[in-house]
Amino acid sequence: MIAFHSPQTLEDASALLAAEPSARPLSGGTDLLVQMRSGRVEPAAIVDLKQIPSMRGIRAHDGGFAIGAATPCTALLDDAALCAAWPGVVEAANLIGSVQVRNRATMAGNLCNASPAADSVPALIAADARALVVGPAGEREVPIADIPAAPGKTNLAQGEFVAEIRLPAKSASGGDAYLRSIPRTEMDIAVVGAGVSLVLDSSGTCTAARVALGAVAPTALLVEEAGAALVGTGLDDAALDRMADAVRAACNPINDKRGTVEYRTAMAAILAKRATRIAQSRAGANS
Amino acid sequence: MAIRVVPLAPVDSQFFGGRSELVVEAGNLFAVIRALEAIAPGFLKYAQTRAWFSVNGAIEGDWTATIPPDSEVIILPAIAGG
Amino acid sequence: MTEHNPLSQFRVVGTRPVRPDGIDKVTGKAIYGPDHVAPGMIHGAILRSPHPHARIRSIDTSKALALPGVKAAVTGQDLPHLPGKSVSLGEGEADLANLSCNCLARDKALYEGHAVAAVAATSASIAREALKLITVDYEVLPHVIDLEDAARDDAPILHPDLRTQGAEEPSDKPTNIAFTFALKQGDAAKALDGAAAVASGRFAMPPVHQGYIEPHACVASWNADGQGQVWCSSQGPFMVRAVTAGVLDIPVSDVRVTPLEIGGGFGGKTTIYLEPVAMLLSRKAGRPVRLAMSREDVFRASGPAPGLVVDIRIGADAEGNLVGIEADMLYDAGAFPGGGTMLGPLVLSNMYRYPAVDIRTRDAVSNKPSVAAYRAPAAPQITFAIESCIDDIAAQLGMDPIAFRLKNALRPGDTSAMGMECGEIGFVECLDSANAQDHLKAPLGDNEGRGIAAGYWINIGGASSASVSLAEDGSVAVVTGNPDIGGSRASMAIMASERLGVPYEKVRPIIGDTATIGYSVVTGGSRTTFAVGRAVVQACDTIIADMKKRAANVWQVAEDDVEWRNGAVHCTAKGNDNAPMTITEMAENANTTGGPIAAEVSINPHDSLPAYGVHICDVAVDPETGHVSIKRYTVVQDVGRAIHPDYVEGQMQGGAVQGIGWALNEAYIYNSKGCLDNPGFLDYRMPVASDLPMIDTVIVEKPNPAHPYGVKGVGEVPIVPPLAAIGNAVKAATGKRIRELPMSPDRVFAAINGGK
Ligand SMILES: Cc1cc2nc3c(=O)[nH]c(=O)nc-3n(C[C@H](O)[C@H](O)[C@H](O)COP(=O)(O)OP(=O)(O)OC[C@H]3O[C@@H](n4cnc5c(N)ncnc54)[C@H](O)[C@@H]3O)c2cc1C
Repeated sequence: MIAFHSPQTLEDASALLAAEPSARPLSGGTDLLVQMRSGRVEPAAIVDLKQIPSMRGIRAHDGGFAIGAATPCTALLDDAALCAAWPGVVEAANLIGSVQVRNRATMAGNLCNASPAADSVPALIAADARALVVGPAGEREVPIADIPAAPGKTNLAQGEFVAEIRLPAKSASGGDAYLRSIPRTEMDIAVVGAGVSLVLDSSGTCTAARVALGAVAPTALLVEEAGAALVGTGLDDAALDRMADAVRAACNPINDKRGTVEYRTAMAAILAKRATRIAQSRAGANS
Repeated sequence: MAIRVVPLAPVDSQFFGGRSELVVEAGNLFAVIRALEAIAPGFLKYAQTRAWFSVNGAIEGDWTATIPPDSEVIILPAIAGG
Repeated sequence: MTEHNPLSQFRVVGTRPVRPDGIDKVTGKAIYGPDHVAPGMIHGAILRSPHPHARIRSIDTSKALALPGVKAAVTGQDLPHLPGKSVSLGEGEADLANLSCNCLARDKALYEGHAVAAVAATSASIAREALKLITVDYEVLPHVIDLEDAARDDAPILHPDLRTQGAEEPSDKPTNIAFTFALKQGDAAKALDGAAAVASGRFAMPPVHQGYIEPHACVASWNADGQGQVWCSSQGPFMVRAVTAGVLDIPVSDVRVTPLEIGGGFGGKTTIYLEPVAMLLSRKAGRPVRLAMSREDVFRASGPAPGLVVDIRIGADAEGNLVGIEADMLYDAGAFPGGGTMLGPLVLSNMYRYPAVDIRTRDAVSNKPSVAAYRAPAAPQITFAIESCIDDIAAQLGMDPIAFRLKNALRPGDTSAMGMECGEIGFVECLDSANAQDHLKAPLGDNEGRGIAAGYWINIGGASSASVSLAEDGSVAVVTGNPDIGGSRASMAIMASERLGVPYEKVRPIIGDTATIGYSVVTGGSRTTFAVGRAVVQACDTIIADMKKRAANVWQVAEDDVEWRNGAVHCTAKGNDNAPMTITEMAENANTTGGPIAAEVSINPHDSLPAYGVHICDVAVDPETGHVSIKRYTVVQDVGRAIHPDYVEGQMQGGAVQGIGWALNEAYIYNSKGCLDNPGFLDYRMPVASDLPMIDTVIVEKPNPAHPYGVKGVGEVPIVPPLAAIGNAVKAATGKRIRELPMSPDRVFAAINGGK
């Protein structure tokens, strides 16, 4: 028998999760329920996070945004300020599955499911987002890239869960973008994903850049060398080629049913370039 | 009435020692198949479940239908659809 | 050929009324395979082999049986041993020993997912728990997954008793090659060596699944008196009855099969997996038992279409006349013999005129699920190779691809290489129609290409029964034994309505169980509207003749003086002013004119005609990523006559879409352990709606003289051309000829970047 809990507060949720080692937090359930049905996970307790008021909705925070961890992906589209500031993140979250899936699915669930191919994660890493982690020992803010530990495993301690995803204030002349490669047009898992976030100065020179990749390593990667290859340039083709070289060098994918090492590596570079151009045009449009 | 019988594989090798043509006296498919059964015992059973008979280019499902003299009968493996 | 405008000739045929089963289906009331509930029913579950090839030393079900709630357990040893026995299914036959072993393994598990034992319990979760308590002692054997590996002499042998059927020199050596067939006419090698243009290559494609939405499911109930009942979805309840009784070795009359609504079959439900097992469990438990597959079970254990590897060479002279064809085909049968071997040569010999032919086909068993029919079985695979080559030859000769096909297409009066005469086929008409489409003139953008390809399918006839009876108010019940997989209820109702002159809405098409109507072979082979439809029309004609006779008696005139027109009997005797009697009046007076008015007709027609189609496809290929997107797609097809054009177009579109999926992304992916890595729709990638443009349809009507309204059969041929149409479009866009399926982004990327 499985115990099902619907706590109303963060503290209760943490206590319930701490009390049972196999307990699982439940957000949209689009990963968890599928895994339970297939017998891959068999939790003794489920702790539904959706009844905790602070975990739903989007609010302004520190000039940026705090997104309740139980907020479904489609709800992000309704927040005009968020869409204007971080279109790449909103797009990435709204590539997941289909509309029906996204009406349930959350970015926090996407993150904590710890799939290397999770779509919103590279976009969040590129955007330098953080997760507010709540647990028996209180709260801590953690960079997104530090949450996944390995495929299917997170660095969260017993009783800990993600309460918020926090996006920083967006630079006035910044832009972000996320692209993925899938064989179909939707309802698919990324063969490769690439998120890019840039800041340009008034002359169009790149002053900051973050490039993150999904599905090319056990966890989503921030490729610092790729960002560095763009900074200080006018994003000319040569700079993008150097960035692409850094992306290829950082790739450490596996051969599996979703793609070969060669194809994944080649696509990572191509998508990173394309995402850079989109981010550039968004940054330009903003400046 | 002489009927030319052309068994395609695997019937040719399985029943008729690889012969690509036989001539039998018959006025309908029942008689053809009886004649073939006499040459190759067991053929009748096969014919009932696994073969199609084309008479002068068209599949004939009614073994009682009269077939004209000097007809050609091709034995094909039965074909199913999806 | 005369141009037919159906509307001018017919009252109902060719119109698009609402389908009789529509409301039930869209409101969720229709009962599909997994929905049926019988009183007292309990739940079965099947234990499946984790190994692709293993000897079963023993199976111990005692612990499972001891679990509270478990009512029965069975293994392959509970099924009768039936070596060499087979049963005729009208269209083809079934080898009962193999079928039985596929339902429950006897000595060996032959593929991962092969059923090895089953239990029934008071709940589905207890049944699943019970499976964990069954111990199977396996001796794991070396496996072979790859088709060409399976055909090698040193391959692990699946069936020690198997010898190649049809071999010129029979051998007594165990083999995985189940069947071989060769057809030779003229000297193809010489003709090809002297040809002005030759296209050749090795084409290869893995198995693909039919992908029906509804998993296999049934409920079986075996009473103490030996009478059994089965409720299930299938393409034919009589097929289910024959094989269930056959596998259980009981009289056919002891099994009654009630067809439930079918959620897609595409050929995959022309065989069975669960019914005999559910019957055995029911007999042991004394309760009705439901067995249902999960999606994973469907992928691991139900029939895909065979993969194919073919070496092919086709050539033409400088004027564009084909001079010969060579093809060596190896089809993948999966675990048991039966890879549709004969169908490859059939397709090869029924498209174009070849003065010289040298073809061989074989099928080989391997440690994969046993293949089943899939929409025009074996045809899409070989047509991919043929139509790719035909396009390449046309290009070499600088000829328009349609003009080249027109020059060589089979026409009425031709005889195919297999000795069958072409009747009123419409290949040329399809090519002419394709040639006239605006689609061909639409401009293409950068990285876009256009491809065309043709396809053939035989279309069968076969045993068919139908009954037509008038209710007291003149409304009509039409009963057939053929499940409605593509709108056939509507077509049956239209034909009866047309014939009897009653409104479509007054005709109720019903699908009967095996005890309510005479025998019919499956809904498959594109046969139902042709053959069963003909039985319906003949049954209508029988009651019309009956009504004429009754009217003659009422009017005291000769039968010759009674005419049937517009749904009424008319008296034509001279000097007679008898008012016509409508079918409604005849029905109202039935009991005073001799009793109920009804007729059942059983026929076995074989004069069906093949279908031809021509597809035009535009693709855009992303040169950096290898993604192929379908930009525009047109299906042109000769259907004989479209009884209900909506469902004809639906078949044309559905077939094209399944072909597009086959071409672009669908494939079984096996890991090194011989286990299927993608047993679900996430990684077995069928197209989703956003992958597709609107599929445009062009219906060509060249009537079949052997059907009262000219029907030829529609459902299968549209899946045949897409593989090559897309391949030809990709070639036009990229310059690369891709000979391996699927044309997934990584494969196209590799081709563009100088790979193979
Ligand atoms: C049909 C289909 C298509 C899909 N397509 C995609 C796709 O295109 N791209 C993609 O990336 N994913 C895809 N997914 C996977 C899934 O939808 C996403 O990963 C989704 O974002 C998960 O969010 P959720 O809220 O449903 O997570 P849940 O299923 O609720 O949870 C996922 C995991 O995270 C844990 N968890 C949930 N919330 C928290 C929290 N706040 N703190 C700590 N742990 C938590 C759960 O215990 C569980 O282990 C698809 C799934 C389906 C069924």
